[in-house]
Amino acid sequence: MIKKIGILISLSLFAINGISQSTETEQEDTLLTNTPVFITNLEDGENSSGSSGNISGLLQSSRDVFAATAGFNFSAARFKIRGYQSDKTMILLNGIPMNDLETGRGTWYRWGGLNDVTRYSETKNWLSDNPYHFGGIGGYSNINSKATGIRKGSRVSYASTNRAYSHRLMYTHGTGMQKNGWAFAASLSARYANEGYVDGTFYEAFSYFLAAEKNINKSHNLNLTILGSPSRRGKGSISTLETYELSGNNFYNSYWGYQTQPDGTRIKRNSRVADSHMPIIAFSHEWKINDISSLKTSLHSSFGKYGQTALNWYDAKDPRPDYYKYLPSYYEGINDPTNAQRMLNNWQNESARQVQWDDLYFANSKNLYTHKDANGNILREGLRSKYIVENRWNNIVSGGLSSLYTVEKENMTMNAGLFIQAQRNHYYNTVEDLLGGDYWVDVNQFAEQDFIDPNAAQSDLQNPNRTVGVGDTYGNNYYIMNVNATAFWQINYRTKRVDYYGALELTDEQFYREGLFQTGLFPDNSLGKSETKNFVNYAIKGGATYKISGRQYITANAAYLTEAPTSRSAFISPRTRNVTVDDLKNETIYTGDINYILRYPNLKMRLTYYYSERKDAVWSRSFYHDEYNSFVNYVMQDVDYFHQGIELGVDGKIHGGLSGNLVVAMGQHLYNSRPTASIYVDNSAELIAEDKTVYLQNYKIGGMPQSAASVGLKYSGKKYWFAGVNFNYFADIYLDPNPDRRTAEAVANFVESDPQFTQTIEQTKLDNGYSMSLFAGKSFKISNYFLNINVNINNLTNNTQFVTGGFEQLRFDSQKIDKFPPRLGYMYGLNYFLMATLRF
Amino acid sequence: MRKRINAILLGVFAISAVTACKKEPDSPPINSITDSEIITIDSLKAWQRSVNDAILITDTISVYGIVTMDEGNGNIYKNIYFQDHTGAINVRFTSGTDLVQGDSIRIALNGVTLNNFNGVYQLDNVEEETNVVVQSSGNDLEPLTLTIDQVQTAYTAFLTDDEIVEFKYQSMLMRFADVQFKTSELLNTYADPVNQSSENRLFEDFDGYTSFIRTSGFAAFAGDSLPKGAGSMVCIISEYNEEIQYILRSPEEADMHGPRGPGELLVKDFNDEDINSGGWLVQQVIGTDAWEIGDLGSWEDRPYAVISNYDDGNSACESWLISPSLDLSGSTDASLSFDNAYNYSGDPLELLISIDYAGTGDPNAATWVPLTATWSTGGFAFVNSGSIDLAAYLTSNVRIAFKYVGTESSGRTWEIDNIIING
Repeated sequence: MIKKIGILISLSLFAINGISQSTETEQEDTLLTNTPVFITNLEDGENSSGSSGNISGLLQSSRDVFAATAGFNFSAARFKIRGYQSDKTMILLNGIPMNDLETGRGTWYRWGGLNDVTRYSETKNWLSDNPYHFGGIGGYSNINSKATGIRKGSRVSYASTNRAYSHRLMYTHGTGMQKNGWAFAASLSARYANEGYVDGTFYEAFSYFLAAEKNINKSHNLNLTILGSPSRRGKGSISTLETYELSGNNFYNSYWGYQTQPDGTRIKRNSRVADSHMPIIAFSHEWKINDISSLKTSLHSSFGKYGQTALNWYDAKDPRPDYYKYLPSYYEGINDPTNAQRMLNNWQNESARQVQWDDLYFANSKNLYTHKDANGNILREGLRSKYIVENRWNNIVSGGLSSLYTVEKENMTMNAGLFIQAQRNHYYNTVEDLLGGDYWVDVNQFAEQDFIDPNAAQSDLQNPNRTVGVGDTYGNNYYIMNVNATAFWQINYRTKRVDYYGALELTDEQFYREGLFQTGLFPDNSLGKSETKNFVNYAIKGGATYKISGRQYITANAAYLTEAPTSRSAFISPRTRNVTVDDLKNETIYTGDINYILRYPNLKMRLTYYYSERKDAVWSRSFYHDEYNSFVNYVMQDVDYFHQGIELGVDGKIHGGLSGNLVVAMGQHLYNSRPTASIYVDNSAELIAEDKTVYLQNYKIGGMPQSAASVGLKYSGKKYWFAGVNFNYFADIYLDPNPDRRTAEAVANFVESDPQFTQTIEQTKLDNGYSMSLFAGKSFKISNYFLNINVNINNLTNNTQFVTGGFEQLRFDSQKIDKFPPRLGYMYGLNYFLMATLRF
Repeated sequence: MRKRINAILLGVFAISAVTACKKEPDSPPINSITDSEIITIDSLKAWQRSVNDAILITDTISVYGIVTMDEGNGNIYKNIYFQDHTGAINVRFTSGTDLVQGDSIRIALNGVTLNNFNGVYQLDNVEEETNVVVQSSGNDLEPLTLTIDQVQTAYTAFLTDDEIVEFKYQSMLMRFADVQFKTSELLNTYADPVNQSSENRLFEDFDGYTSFIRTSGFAAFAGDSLPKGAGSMVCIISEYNEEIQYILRSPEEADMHGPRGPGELLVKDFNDEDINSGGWLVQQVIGTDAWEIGDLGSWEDRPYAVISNYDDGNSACESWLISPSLDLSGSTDASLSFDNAYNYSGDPLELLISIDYAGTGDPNAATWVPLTATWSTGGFAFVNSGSIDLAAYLTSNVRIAFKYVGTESSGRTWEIDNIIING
């Protein structure tokens, strides 16, 4: 009965609202690796408990314990608030939208390390009004990058940690607004690790932030901000359970290997190095038109590089040590115990289970080769590299204009904004290292195998039969251009009992691809511009807060949005051709929440129910398909997502300096439709399956705990010290499903009683897990210096057995589902962050 | 108080809203299999007999059973043996498989050909990818324990009795309790791995029955030596050209390492074209015409021992072909058999036995006792001697001898082959 009432109430409450979406999981299959990239959340996990972004929550009250806990204690287990990916949270820098136009995602790497600047961002982690932009349904975070946003004085800090990096040094200085009307601020930081928590990873990063602000007069204010974060880091892999068990290391990293130096010593070299530097320049003008209205206009630009290296090879065996044919399980599966034992022996040896750099050099050194064109003319003689390290670049040039008009009266605030942004992504590959060879031949080896016509294998028909060296562009080379224009209007209205807001948004999104190579496989639609896709969308949201008393509130929010598909998901195989998914359509999102909030001095609580649906999304990946024996582009359309859940955060004083908190997130994050899939052969664009039904309804969105809880105690001493402990529990973690396994075709050979039927379609639920964290800090005042020492320790019990997420490989063999087992990631074991800060 | 009630109510509503929506995951359409879609191996065989021709199966039917022999060690290729509670059948694939002995499988028969090849029932043109679904692994079947005679009797009955429509043991997994490879095989390997040719290897049981296992030259154990003792052997019953042959799954299952039982002690078939090999002696008492190797005639092109005193006329001759010394003291029974043929006129050949011949010198110095045998009726017609009882000679230093005598006016040509002494 209670259940029924609950449903009725929730139905009536949310008849209008909608949903949010959850998005793609973090996996990305790329052509050459087929190895998805898993983003860990610990890389910049600096925050000491509770201060993770000062949540300027509802009604300007103090921090929201739910958001703080989720952002800090839950992030180690890849928990996501409301199940949303980062594209549902709008990141703003001084009010300028910063989400990547191609993917919609937040791009934190652009200001990584500038924690003194980003620490005090204004963040809301849920649907709400937003004075800067219509924003995302997952909330927003606005980083104040004005010179006056940096506290006056100096601050120097050193941190020691054992996570992605080992050392961080940071210096920040702000002048505050000076009598001459100028304010300046600077922040510099460096992060370094010879080897991070994961074997073979390294970290070299530098960050800078410079801001100048000028009050011209009472009405006009100018601000210039320049920031950037050049970094290089070696990445960690995510692999299969077998590799973890064989290596005895749940953080086994297949990306590195030993390389012998000329002096005979061996160094660890990582084959996957991310190299990025994407500075942002923003210039703002704030005009206080009169007592109630203001206009803020910003110009910004961001440009730079983002490259990731990887091994590439030609006519040679796969150099990746965790390739499935190098594992004992493969040979056990084909009844070959001799080779299974051989592989097992190989894995017993640390250096043998890593990348064999010396072998790659050796193979190149023995490959004297005369490269000829189709007519037999000699083009190049020398050592043709069988193996190289390539760099896959995604370099961005972007810029835009943001303008926000605000009217503020006693009981009413109105914001109107206009945002115009353009972004060009330049994707191309370069040769990073020939590994001892003299040259690399720029051909598509897959096309070379599949087609007789020698032209088919040419990467660029404009420049055929090319040999390339270090730094040369090869393989693919194209632009993705995005242009976005958004208008936004919001009104807030306040009465004694009820506050209301409503907001509207109108968006125009355009994108096209421009090929710089004429691909041999697709001579007619690879070079030059594709058709421009144009999408017009609108969004509306509103909410109200009912003030039961000054300490007790009920609020409700609802939104309805349509959103353009991202250009990332729209192109079927952007590396080779100007072709988008047929019948691209806008996504629809509706979402809503209802919150009960207490704000007593000694007890703060928020209890929320949210509901969210996202409809008609596109999902596309490329991978090797065993049934078709071909590398394919797999495009799912009409993918719907569903999220609902409860968020509870309680924070109260218990006695004296002792306070306690409880955070509970119960979520249900599901695929909510039967999408249709189309499958294209990557090398020919042949459509091998059209509108294949994917039976994905009600599968859990994987790769994150759907539910989590945390209990914490904190003691604040009188002499400026505090200490606390948290126990965190994670539940309902699933592997993200491979859609193609949930098709009639995948189980066509089976009947219901065959074990393979269940094995193929059943979703894997991972074990629940826990972690404990400890934090403490103390402040000292020494004459005019303030010294803060903070420490936090995550995973105090060094629980290294907790699988926090993973996904099924897209490649599969339904007869032997274990042949391509899922890739899994473990929570880091005990890790710490110790920081000393001196302010003066 | 009111706020507390509000909070509790809201919490209850929220939790119930979430938990009320337990949503079952979707499932692609799937067929379930009905009893009428399951067929047994004996029904398949009956179906084949009723059509008496290859049948391309187009119905959605399946057969369940257990893989009794896989291709793991290469003794068979692109086929397996498969058995259910009603019988066994050979399953032939379009390519090699990863199936493992003990796999419980379902074979979806749509697209499969049901056939009878030289008497062996087969499912043919099976695709592992699409037709076979492994249900579970490690279900090793207990083999039937049978004797050579039981199998042969059943097979003979099937061949000769029209009432019996099926050889009930065909393709089945079975076990012999007490068998040994014949003495004559003991220096051999299972097959010829160098030329990759298949070989038959004779074995016997303690009751004197003999059969053979056939092993592919591609088998991983083709080059392994045969076990020299006696014991049990697990194999698959097969047949070829109306003859039973057995197929070994692995050399470990020829567990024949115990003391040998009754069986062949000696075989002299002259196929090595060496009259003396194995310790056989030719003792010349009179003349120069001696026992030698012959290979004329139609005796299946197999060499044999021959003697004749005719060379542009007869000459006086006495030549003995004497076996090596045999120790029959450990035997409970013993017998001798051989093939013989002659032509022309003259004295009969004598078959003699002695327990005191020293192995050198004139055999007439020792004591020889004649034995009775079935002899050829002439015209170079080979006959078998029949089983000649040696039970009276269960002692050491037993030798048998063939004594040839010719005169200046007459003399037969005698041919002897396949001398076998069991004990």
